[in-house]
Amino acid sequence: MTMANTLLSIKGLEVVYIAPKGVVKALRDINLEIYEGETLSIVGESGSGKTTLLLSIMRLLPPNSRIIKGSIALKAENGWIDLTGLDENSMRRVRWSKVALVSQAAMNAFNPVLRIKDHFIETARAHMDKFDRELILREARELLKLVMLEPERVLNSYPHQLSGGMKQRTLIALSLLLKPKLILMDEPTSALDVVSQKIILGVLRDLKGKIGSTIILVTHDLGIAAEIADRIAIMYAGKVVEVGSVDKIFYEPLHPYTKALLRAVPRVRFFSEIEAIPGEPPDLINPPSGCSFHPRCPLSMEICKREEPPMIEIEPRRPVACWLHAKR
Amino acid sequence: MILDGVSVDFTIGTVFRSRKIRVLDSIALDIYEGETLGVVGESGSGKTTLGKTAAGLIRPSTGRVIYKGTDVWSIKGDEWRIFRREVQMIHQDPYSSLNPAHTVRTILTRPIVKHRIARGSDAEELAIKLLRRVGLTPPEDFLDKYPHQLSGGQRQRVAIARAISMKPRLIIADEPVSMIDVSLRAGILRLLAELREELRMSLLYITHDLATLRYIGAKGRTAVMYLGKLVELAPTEELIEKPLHPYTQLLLEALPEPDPRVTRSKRLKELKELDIPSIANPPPGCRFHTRCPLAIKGVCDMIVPEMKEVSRDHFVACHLY
Amino acid sequence: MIGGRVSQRYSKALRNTLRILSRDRAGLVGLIIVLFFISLGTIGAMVVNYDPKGNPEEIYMPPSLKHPLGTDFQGRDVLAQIIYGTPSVLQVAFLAGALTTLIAVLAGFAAGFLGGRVDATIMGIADFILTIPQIPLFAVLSALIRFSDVSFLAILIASVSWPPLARAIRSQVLSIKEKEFIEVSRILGFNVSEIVFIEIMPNIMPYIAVNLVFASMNAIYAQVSLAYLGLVPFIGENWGIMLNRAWTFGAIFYEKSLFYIMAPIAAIVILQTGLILLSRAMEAIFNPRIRAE
Repeated sequence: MTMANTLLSIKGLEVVYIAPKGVVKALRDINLEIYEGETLSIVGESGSGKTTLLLSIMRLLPPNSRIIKGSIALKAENGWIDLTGLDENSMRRVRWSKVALVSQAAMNAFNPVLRIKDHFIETARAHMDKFDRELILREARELLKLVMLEPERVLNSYPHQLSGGMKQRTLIALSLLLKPKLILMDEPTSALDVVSQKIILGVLRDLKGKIGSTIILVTHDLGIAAEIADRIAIMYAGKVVEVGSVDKIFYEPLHPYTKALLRAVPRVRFFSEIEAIPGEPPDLINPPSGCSFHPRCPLSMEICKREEPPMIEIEPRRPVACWLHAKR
Repeated sequence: MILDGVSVDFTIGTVFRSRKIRVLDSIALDIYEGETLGVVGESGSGKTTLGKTAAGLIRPSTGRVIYKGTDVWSIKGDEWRIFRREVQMIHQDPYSSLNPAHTVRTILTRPIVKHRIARGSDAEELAIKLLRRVGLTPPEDFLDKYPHQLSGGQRQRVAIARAISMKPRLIIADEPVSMIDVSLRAGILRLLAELREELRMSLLYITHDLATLRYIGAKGRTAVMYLGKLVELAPTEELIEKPLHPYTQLLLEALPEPDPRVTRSKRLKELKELDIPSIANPPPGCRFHTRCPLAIKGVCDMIVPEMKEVSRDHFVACHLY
Repeated sequence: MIGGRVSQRYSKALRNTLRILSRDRAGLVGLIIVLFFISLGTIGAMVVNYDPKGNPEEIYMPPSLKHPLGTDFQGRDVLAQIIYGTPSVLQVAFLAGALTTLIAVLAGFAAGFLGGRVDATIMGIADFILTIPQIPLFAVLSALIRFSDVSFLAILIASVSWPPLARAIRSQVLSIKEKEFIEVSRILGFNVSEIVFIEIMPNIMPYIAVNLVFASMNAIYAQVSLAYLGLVPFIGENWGIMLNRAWTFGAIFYEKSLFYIMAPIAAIVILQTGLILLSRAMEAIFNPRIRAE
């Protein structure tokens, strides 16, 4: 595989939420490179920070949260744009045309008084200086067909007339309309039945090649990641603990959390003994000292309690944050 | 327990204009002592309604729910109380299955006292023992807590403690782990499996996730539901290895496995239609015919298939057999 | 043994209440104000001397030691009038408040829990009452009925104030009824009254407590307005009556009579403020989630 170029470079990102009980450190020193044309799946459980990461990229964090440090650099025609430094107007121009977001919250953002075809048209109008209405509608029909929806019926419907699954698929089609370079997805198949899910994941896999988009797909479901990802980043307690190609992560996991996660997930095809990870997810207001996984890690050592392990590239593009692998 | 020809109709609409929707249609299912019966279906298949009907919460519009030989809706008094004790339910959402205004102590001791299993400080002793059994230690710390002070996994364990305090013969578990973090699910499932052995209970495990079902129900049977009807019933292992009904086959092909080589090699057969028909207007004949790649024109779209035993203990409702 | 546990629970409740009040300064202030007025109405009325006949030589006197708030147009002491008016104001307020809340709870629970035709009937009655303009209704009723008892006024106010609260309680009951823990109670074999009182009620208590205070506040405004408008034939020194007299006898045109007008208004405002502040603490006292923090 040729070395693809970096599309999005996140360095040292730290994000906090201000909650009544205290300051929640949702993202702690995130460093991640996303390459052009790949599908990166970010896998983590609740509290890992994966949704916060997507919202930070889109600068759609709720008012009680802040990006306190770090940069999110997006490659553009003439150099790099630091998304953390953009004002709201500039960010709005980036959103949807360069970076699209498909998420549960976005599904609720359908305007109840507009038909779906108006949604497509309005989206185009907001981001393009000149646009051909007919052309947009033709594109919309193609995209809706791709997600296995009946174009005419859906275009003429109001959002409330569509089921949850249909809305989710419509949102995916809408996100592809402006051919964004980067598509962020947060559990994009949660409202779909299992069969639709498999088909849509397949569609996404084929499509991104045609459009040339890069996809970041956040999920807690390892099955979905296995289905569609080229690379996987595992997150725990607001940090990225391991990144690697999909084969490497599933068949040669390095970080103890990754290994434990794989052991905790049951499989259908054959009966496997599954093991829960002991303990509870960490409190992000007062995370454990050192490596935040150490209270639950079967292989934790003295140093794990004292110091946070650095992210070290064991192989090219294979960073792991664990003291077991840091002695290099 | 036997569900004998159970159908459940829901009435929707206003007082002035209402419609009946048959959410469960002619379900015939036996739950044997000590077995784990899995019920698999997607949302809209009626599986949750099945669970609630088995629990005696919903009265079937036709058919009977028979527990230990008697129709559940015709028993009264002491027999009713016994039924209420011996059949328990664990819900999907740990956040709404515990009363937010009650402490754990109240949640656990009230049913114990109500069913005269213990009184006063004995009831509290029992609650402590139960908390310890479900892994909430030290138990005394948990007694005075309110549900909102517990994590999802802890709440689910309290719900399990509450259920087993009744020494039930049958537990109906409706997606008990789907709202729990992936890494903690195994713990809850293992707890259920252990308790099932210890108390020699039957377990009706309702889910859409065949993977967790395989783990907990490997030695039992599984029924597959589609749009309110049963389509296949077989020992779990056999169902997964050799599914007969096209819908079951479709389900197994579509389920994403946490294993790239396996999941990417699964190819879906060509589907005629992606959208699932509405339960309010089910297709005639076999309900799956609108999507079934193997549908036989003139047969599958007109005649309702019956559940037939195709091989030992393996039942399918499909015209192919 | 049971008595021991019950008293244990009450002392714990009391301790929790005091703890919350000590942290929520606003609530504490509110409680103090309300207690002040209560003592004014009980002890004050016994201690202070009030001469209804008045003293023609002391008309509209400015505040002095003898008359801390001045006198009215007949030479009567204003402060004494306030104090003597307090008992009836409080009586109507709390009685009407309690009745309103009681009716609303019964109606709201019945409608929400039983549903169907009971629900439709109760809500129909509620809607009907809401459409009746209240001031004209009172005008008519006061012309027709001679009543001299405070309680009657309270009942009257309650009978037209309960619909909005009933509606709100009904929605709360409806939403709680759908929660899974209610289903669990059914499975565990609890009967209807156990479910209503032990499962549902504790979840609505904070709402009821807060609205009890609001209902009392509404009753104060209602009775004062009615008295001011002269729609309530009264004997006694209700603050509204004072305002009515102030208006009728031209007190607003006279600068010396300022205190006569401002005194009842100030009393009303301070009492209402106290009640509002108290209502905020009520939520914390009755809500186990906040209490446990």
